Formats: sequence, C-alpha cells, structure tokens
Amino acid sequence: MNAFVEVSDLSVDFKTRNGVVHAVRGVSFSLMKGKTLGIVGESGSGKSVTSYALMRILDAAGFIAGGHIEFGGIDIGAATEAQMRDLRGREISMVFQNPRAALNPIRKVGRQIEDVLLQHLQATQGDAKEKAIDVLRQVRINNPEERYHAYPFELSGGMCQRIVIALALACKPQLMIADEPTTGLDVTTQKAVMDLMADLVRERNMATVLITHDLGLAAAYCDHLIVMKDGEVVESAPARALFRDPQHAYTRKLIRATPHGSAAIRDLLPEDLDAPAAPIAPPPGEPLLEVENLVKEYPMKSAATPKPGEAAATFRAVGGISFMVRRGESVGLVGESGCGKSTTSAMVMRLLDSTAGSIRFAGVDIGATPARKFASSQYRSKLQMVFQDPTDCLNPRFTARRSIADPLMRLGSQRGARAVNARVEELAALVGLPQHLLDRFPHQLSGGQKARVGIARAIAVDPELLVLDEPTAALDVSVQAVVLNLLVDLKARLAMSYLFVSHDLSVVRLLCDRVIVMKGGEIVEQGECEKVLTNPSHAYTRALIEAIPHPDF
Amino acid sequence: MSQSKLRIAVKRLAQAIPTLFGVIVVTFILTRALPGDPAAYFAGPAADAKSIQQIRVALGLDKPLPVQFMLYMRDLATGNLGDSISTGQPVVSDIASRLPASLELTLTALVLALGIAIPLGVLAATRPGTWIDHLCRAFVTAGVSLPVFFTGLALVYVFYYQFGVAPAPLGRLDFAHFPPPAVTGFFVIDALADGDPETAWAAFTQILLPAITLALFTLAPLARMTRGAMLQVLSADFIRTARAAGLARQKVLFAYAFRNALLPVITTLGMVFSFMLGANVLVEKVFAWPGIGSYAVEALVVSDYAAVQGFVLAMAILFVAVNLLIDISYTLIDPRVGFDD
Repeated sequence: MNAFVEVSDLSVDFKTRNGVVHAVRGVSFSLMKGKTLGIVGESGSGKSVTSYALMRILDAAGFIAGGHIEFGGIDIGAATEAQMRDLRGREISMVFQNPRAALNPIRKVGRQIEDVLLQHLQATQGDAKEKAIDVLRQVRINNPEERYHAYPFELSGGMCQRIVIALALACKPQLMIADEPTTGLDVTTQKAVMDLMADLVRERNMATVLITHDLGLAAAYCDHLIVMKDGEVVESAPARALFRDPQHAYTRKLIRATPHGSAAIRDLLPEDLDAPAAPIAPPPGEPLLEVENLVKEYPMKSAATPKPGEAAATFRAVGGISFMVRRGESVGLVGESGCGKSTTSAMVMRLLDSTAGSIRFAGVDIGATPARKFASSQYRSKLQMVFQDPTDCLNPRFTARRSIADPLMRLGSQRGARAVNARVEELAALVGLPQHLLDRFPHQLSGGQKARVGIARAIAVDPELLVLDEPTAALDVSVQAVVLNLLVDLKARLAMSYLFVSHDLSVVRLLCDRVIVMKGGEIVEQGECEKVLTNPSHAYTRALIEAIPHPDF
Repeated sequence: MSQSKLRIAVKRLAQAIPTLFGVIVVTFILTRALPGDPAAYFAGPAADAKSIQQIRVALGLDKPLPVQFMLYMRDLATGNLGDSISTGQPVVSDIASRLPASLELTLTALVLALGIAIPLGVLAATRPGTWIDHLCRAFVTAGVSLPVFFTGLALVYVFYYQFGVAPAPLGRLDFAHFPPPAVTGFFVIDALADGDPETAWAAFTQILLPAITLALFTLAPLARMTRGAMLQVLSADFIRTARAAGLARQKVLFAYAFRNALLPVITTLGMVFSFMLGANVLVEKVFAWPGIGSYAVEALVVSDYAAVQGFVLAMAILFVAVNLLIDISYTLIDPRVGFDD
C-alpha cells in the first residue's frame, strides 16, 4: 500500500532580524490512511512548524526551504495558493491547542462551522444550519440545536475543543493534524476528547498526525512515533518499539523524564547524571497547618436579580473542607479545574479571605487576620508560594537578581545592599541558577531558569510552608524532571513543608506523602499517596487515575 | 437586541443623569468665576456705575449665587436657557441654528475620514512594509502634525485663490442661494429634500474644503487604530484556525478579522467625534462657518453666561448620546459585553 502522506527531507526556514533560522531540518516521514503518527518533542523542537508546513500556513516570515511534501499524489510545495485553500479544511484539517483562542470570539460557533461547510460547497445557504447542527451532533455535543447559537466564551474548554474538532471534521477530510489538542485541558476531559477523536478517525479511516509533548498520550493513541529535537528527527519507530527499546539517547531521556509507573523521583533524571540518592523524608512532625471547615462563597453573577425576599444566590467555591499539613510533610491537593483547589491555596496563603472556617498555622489562627493586612503579619514570611506560570509571575522589568531580592527587602532580616546581594547569590546557588544569569531579564531566561528564579524567590525568606501551584505545568518534561528533583532536595535541606496543588496525579505521586482529592469544592478522598493512588476508594479518584494516558508496555 | 442588553442601555442612560447635573453645576460655577463683568459689557463703554448696576439687577446678577443657581435650574426645567447678551437672542434658538451647522461639518468630515482611514488601515495591516503601509504612516504623521488652521488656509489658497475651483470660504452658502427650509438643519440634505439640487450642490461645495480640513486631522487616530487593531487580530489564534479551514481570504479578513478589530476603532471614533464637535473652532473661523464652536468662543470672551452654559450643556448631552451609541454598537458587535458587566 502506498503512503498517503509522504514527507521527505523537509526543511523550513524563518527569516528573522538576526538572520535565517532553520526551524526544521531534513524531516522525513510517511503516513498511511487509517494510521496515526505521533510527533513528539519539547518546545522549540519544530514539531508544530512541521505541521504548519504540511498545510502551508506558516507565518509570513517562514517558508519551505527544501524537501518535498506529497499528499494523496499532490505536491504540496508546488500547489498554488488557491489549490491549497481548497485542500485546507476539505482534505487536510487541523485541530489546535488552546481551543478557546482558536475560535472567533464574536461569532456563533454554529456559524463558524457553517462558514467551513459553505466554503467547501458541502452545504448551501438553505441547509447549512441543519448540516452544522449535524456536525455538532457527530462530535457528541448534547443539545446541538441550542449549542449552535453559543459563543465560545459561553462554553467550557473541553466543549470548545469539540467545536474545533467539529470544524476540522466538518468536510470529512482525509488527513487530520492535531497540534497539542488537549494541552491545558483536564485529564478526564483530555481522555474524552482524545477518545472522541480516535473514534471518528477510525470510523472514517482518516490519517492522523498527533503532535504532543506528552509521551504517555502519544503512546496511548499513536501507531508510529517520531521524536524531534532542535528541528531534526532523532528517532522514528513504531510506538511499541520506541518505548520498549529506545535507540537514541534523547528518546531515552524523554521517556525517563515522563512520570511513569512505579518510577521514583530520581528515575526521571537522565541515567548518566550522577545524582545523589533522594533524601529520605523525615517522619512528619507536629501539625503545621490545620484547616477546619473552610468555606468560600461568591455572590452569583446571574443576569436575573433575585426577587425581593429571596436570598441572593451564592456560589460555593469551597464547601467546608478540613485538612492538615504536618511539619516536613508534602501534601498534594488534586482536582480538575473549578474544583476549588486554587481557591483553597489562595485562602491558605492569605491572599483571599474565607467566608467561614479557620486556618491555623503553627497553632495560631492566621485566618483571623484579613488577607489585606496579612502582608505585615509576622507569619507572611513563613508562608510563601511558587506560582504556575514561571513567565507571568516575574516582573518583566526586573532582573532575576532584583526579583529574588524583592521579598528580602520587604521581609528579610538582611540589612544593606551587600547583605541582600550575598543572600541572593546564596539562593541562586541553592536552586542551581548560575550566577551569571542573575542579571538577566525574564525574557532572556529559559522556562526552567525562570522556574528556578520563582523558587529562589519563594524560599528567600525561609518559609516553613511552601504552597506550590502547579509549578511544573508549563515546563517541558525534561525540565519538569529537574525542577521536581530540585524541589525534593530543597524540602529536605531547608526542612520545609509543601502544599502541592496540581491536576497531575503522576507528578503528585512522585513528590507527596499524602494526597487530598477535591471535586466541586469538597474533599472526596484523602490519605497516604501510595494508598490512594493504587487503591482509590472514591469513584472520582478512580476516574482521574484511569484518565491518565500511560504507555502500557 | 435581547432583554438584558436593553436593560444595559437603559442603565447607561440613567448613569448619565448625575453626569449631566455635575456638568451643569461646574459650568455654572466656572462661568461665574471667570474674569469680566457681563453687566459692564452689556451697558457699553459709555455707561456709568449706576446704569451698570441697573443692568446687573435686570440680569439677576445681584442675587447671591445659590439663588442664581436655583433660578437657572428652574429655567432649565422649562427648557429656557436664558438670553444671550451678545446676540440678544434666546440661547436655545442660537444653539438650534448653529448646532446643525457644526454637526453637518463634523459628520461630513467623519464620513470622509472613516472612508479613507479604515480601508487605509486595513490595507496597511494586511501588507506591512509595503508602499501602502508607508502611505498610511505618512497620512497619520501629516494628520497629527499639521495644524488645522494651516491645512485649512493652504486648501483655501490652492483651491480658491490659485485655481478658483472652490467657492469663497464664507460660511455655509454663498449669497446667490437662500438656505433651504430647515428639516434636518443640514443644508445639503434639506436642499435635496426640497427638490433644489442647485442649492444642494452649492452647499456641498461650501462644506467640502472645511470637511476635508477636519477629516485630515481626524483621519490620523482612526487609521492608526485600525492598522494596530487589525495587526493584532490577524495574529490571533482564531485567524490561523480560519486559514487552516481553508476559508477565503476575503472571509477571513472581513467576517473574522475586521469585525473583531472594529471594537477599538469604534471607541476611538467616539472619542474623536466628541472632540471634533467642540474643537473645530479653528476650522469654523477659517471658513467663517457659523458653527457652535465659534459661537462659544465669542460668548466666552464677553462672559456671556447663558450662552456658555448652554453650549456646555449641549455638548454634554451630545457626549452622553455618542457614548450611549458606542455602548450599544459594542453590545451589538461583541456578545461578551453585558455578561461581565
């Protein structure tokens, strides 16, 4: 059987102010109908650019510099723009990352599907609406007649992704390219979306390219994988073979770095790295943080004003939860978006006032101090936080040195520029940030380096409890592996306790002693990490665990 | 328009009432705080202290300020803005005759500016770095850097004095034509409605040069905003989706990109309009245009309280109306408006 898509020796260049950048170099692969090809790699590996080249939707500065792309007998490189426009959406279509941004915010989703149908003459003005609703039904959207009139902002992330898939599949294309289709979605939503895509692809015998940074996802849904690094393919093999017997050192590093099975935290690091054994956590001491019946309610933002005599509707973001973090302990707070885990961590951090309940820190009721005044509390330095997005949480106008010095100047015991500077350098050494990077601005640092700055800043004033809000969610897996190990080492060295907020159970398992599972503002389960994850008692925990894609070979 | 959007529109309208009241109070106090004595001006240079005092009593200026204010408010409630001491006419009729002149000029200029600025901005954004982008930049730079009285005088010099293709810059109509019966107060439209194309053409040629002068000035922020907004929208993810779906270029550009880019353009449009209406005094002066801007300046110079207050009030009402229109067009374009509110 002949290959349906044949890419040979593809090179893509970008013209930039600093000369030509070779984003993709000599990439070759082939794909048959009904098969799924996974392109795996970390940020900057050229995997997305490869797919854009396939559809010829590169930015103005990018162009195909060499090689050959053949799609069903058509030479993509030589096709005219008009021919390409006919192919796009009808023969080749694409599902994008960040579904909400991928849809026109001020056009009804049904109309957006109609646009595609009308463009490719799959519908007429008369039956377009009916056909659009039919497409919505095919991507298993309940109430498609009603959803037709929805705008993207009225739909959840998972629902938006279904719309994007509906757009991509509306004209029954033969090749679908999915570019990180589930990044940023919850793990159960990810499973639903991926299963839906896999089903539709199978029904229609389409060829699929799945681009992802998540090896587990690639392993679960792809027949063949290619691993890309710095614009080149380093390895290409059937999925099973790739995991069983990775040939290239980089592939091995990636596979190791992906949290998997029973691997311990040190197992994530490259094998040639001689890391000292993971510190053994001391037995947890007395309770450090005690949370009791914590409640957070928000007034409802409903359009209808409540009738007189009727209490104003409130939304319970956190519905009376109790838990405890002991000294030296790591506790994971797990749940999907909207479960109240971030609200809980913000209340514990005293950034947000609670509606009811108490928060005791080392025996003192810190919940009694309003969040507004907590900055001057003596406990402020004892409770610090590492934020989710390492880029957004740094002031773009501050150098790394200034960012780390910031809490020291406010809360630290150091007096004078010299003492502060010495402490900053000590902290940089502690988190493994090379001294010469201290005078760089955030945009001059890599994601991992920025994460280190964020961690150094948080531990600058010797906190006893560190709240970590998905600290590695925005990082590549190999960087995540390093940062997770750094966190484990720092905790032992500085005798801190962690409250680790995450949606990723496999990461929580590596880092935490105990885990708390939240759903709809309530705790559904809590207990020893190993026990909860291997033998969950609540159906929701089970669903969360089962939704994690993992290579089963 | 849905029920909730209608409610927002009504709410915005209600929010304007305190604003208007504030404007009334502030202008009342400010006009009283201005140097100059209207009684002395009204009495003329030959008057003695006694006759000035008489006039002051006649104008009600001898009473304490709070009483004056109450009287002013009572008159306002009956739609009486007082009499202008410089023209001797009721302020209401002065404004009614002059506001349409300003509105006609401003709206014509705005239509002209929009007609040039939006296509220019869109073209510049879709072809960055090309000659049309440079042309856009040149227009914007010239528009903001050339003062209106200069462009006005230059246009008069070239088209009236040198080539003689434009009529004399002497107001809304030359002496050969009579103003058409007032319906809208816009001469061109009124003359056409009256079935008098000759007068309509005469009024049109009169308004052309001042409108171009004003349009050149207004064009700059509009073209700039259109270009910027289009560039930003064109780099958005959903434009890539639309391209990947194979949608035609026109569809992507207009149905997807342009509609999204319209929002900031409309905001700018509202600001520009409000600004133009009051600030085109210079253009009105150059072209002897009997508009409201020149009226207000003349009134201010002689401390003509009633006229100044009437002018400010009219402007405030227009301002509120324009803002309301913008809010409504926002809710029509952007479905998200009204939900975060």
